[in-house]
Amino acid sequence: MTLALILVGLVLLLFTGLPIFAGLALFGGALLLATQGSLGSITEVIFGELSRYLLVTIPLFAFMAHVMIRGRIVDDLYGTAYTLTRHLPGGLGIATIAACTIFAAISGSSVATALTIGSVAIPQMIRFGYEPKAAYGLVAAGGTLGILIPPSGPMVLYGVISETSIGGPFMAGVLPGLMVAAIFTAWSMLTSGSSSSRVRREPRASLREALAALRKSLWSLSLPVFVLGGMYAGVFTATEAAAAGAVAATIVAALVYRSIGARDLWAAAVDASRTSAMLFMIVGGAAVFAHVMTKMRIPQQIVEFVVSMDIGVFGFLIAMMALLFVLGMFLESIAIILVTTPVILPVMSQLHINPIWYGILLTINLELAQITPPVGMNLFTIKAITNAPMGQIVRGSAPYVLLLVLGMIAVMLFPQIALWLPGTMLNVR
Amino acid sequence: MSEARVGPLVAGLGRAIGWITNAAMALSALGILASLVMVAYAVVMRYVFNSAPTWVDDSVGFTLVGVVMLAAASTLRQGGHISVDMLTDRLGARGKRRAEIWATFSVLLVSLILIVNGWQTAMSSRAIGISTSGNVELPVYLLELLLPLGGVLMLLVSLEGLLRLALGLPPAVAAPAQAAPIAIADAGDEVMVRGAEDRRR
Repeated sequence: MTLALILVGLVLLLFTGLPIFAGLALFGGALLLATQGSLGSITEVIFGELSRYLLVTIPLFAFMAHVMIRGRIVDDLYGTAYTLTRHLPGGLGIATIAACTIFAAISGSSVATALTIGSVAIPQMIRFGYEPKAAYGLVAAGGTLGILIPPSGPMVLYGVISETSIGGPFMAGVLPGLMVAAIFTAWSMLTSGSSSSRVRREPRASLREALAALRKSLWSLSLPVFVLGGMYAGVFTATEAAAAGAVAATIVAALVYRSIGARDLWAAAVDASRTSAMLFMIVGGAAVFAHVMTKMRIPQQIVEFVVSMDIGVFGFLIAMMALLFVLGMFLESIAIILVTTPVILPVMSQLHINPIWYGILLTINLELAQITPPVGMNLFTIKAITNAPMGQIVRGSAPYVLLLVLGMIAVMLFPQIALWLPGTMLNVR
Repeated sequence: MSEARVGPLVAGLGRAIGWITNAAMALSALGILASLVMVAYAVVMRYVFNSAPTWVDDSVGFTLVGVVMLAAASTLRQGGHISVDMLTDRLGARGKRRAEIWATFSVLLVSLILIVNGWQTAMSSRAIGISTSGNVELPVYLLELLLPLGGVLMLLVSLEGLLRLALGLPPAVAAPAQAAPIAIADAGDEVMVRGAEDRRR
């Protein structure tokens, strides 16, 4: 009951439009004043939370992605994917999902993926006979792969908060990410390949054309392999992989493409700083909130409540996923991770729920949050690119909401989809 | 005092605050580059010279606190911090203005907490003489002072914001015309979406 009141109070406060970091810090501070009469050393709590080495993984990956985009390394990605798939039914749709999947392995952001791929893919898809709403839905949904396929900003945050090794969730995201991409691809083929479809098909690319296309995208394809491969082979930690990727991207952009100068590198560093400020101020505010939750023994109360209800692992997970889905309709994904994770960690421990498995279910739910109205960042992104009516974008995305729920149910019923790879390669179980 | 008379004063104040926050942002960006160099150095030392430096992890963590605190004010000035604007976007002009005043005032409160509580915590650490644990031994209070420093920078920006709102002036910095092209986490989404809208216009 106390938690429900606290959550409702927090959501209402955030709806007043104040920055999320301020809302979390002030709400947490007010609760501290009410329960213990003083703020204590809350800046010490914030300092401890912000000075974690692992968090620097996020700005370093952001820097790498900035350099790859500013250096035009990723420019040919969509063209290559289209050359290879254009003869298949729904070839453009497949190319879009493929480009989203590869871009997801570079960016770690849903919106960045939808924005970058969508601005090229949507006009092309409509020109080739796709219904506009189908093109909007496909890109909005394809963009969400950005946070499920590593690297992933939300997964780093989850790993830090849940004290899980970052490599575990990263590797656990690979198969579910590919599975979701395959589900989206199948849907796209099914809906655009039917006999009634007006979608135009192109002839198969010759071997020479295919090789030329692959050569064009060689670096944009090989840098994620270098970064993620180095991490999975145990050569780099997640933070080191981000730094190595940033250095490699800088070398490729400066020496191979000759498309980046000192000014661009500085702009990339400023962008990464801004990303850090936006993100980690929320982390600081959430640290205050989590601190007061612990002081009020809220996590223990939830454990006692869940144990007394005797709903079991699946009952708890279903209830949690439903709660996250509702929160995702209104709140931003980072806030959802930071507010809910510390509170339910003891419950997961009590119920012996693998935190990596839960992390993947949480991430799929955050993907849903990107495409469910009224607050769905990828819906806004498509609106920003196309200026299409929001209703049309929402209708186009609706089938993908169901497909993502299907993917989430599959990972819930078969945890090995997420856990097999980290178990096999990192011996993380 | 009329708006015409205070205009140059506010503009001068805005320029000064803009210069300070931009300088802080530049230091923050240097912190990002320094972190990159430190982590890359650690990798090279480990694999090439078989001698992993022990100070890098702690130093990178402490640098991150500086990166965040120095960049927070400039980000605030550019309207880059994320908020839930689903309801406030539907308000009329007067309601929106009230919501903006409330949002700016809330940041002012947080800034004051960072300044007062952060200063007390740092001075308490100094009095006891605590050093950081781990591989880098630094006086903790010096690092903890980064929080009140960030608070002072944000206080300046929020005071400027409240002053402009009181005088009916537009925000000091308009929403970015060119979006940052990417952000690793979806935290920068609103800026990116806004940038995409601007590009379309």
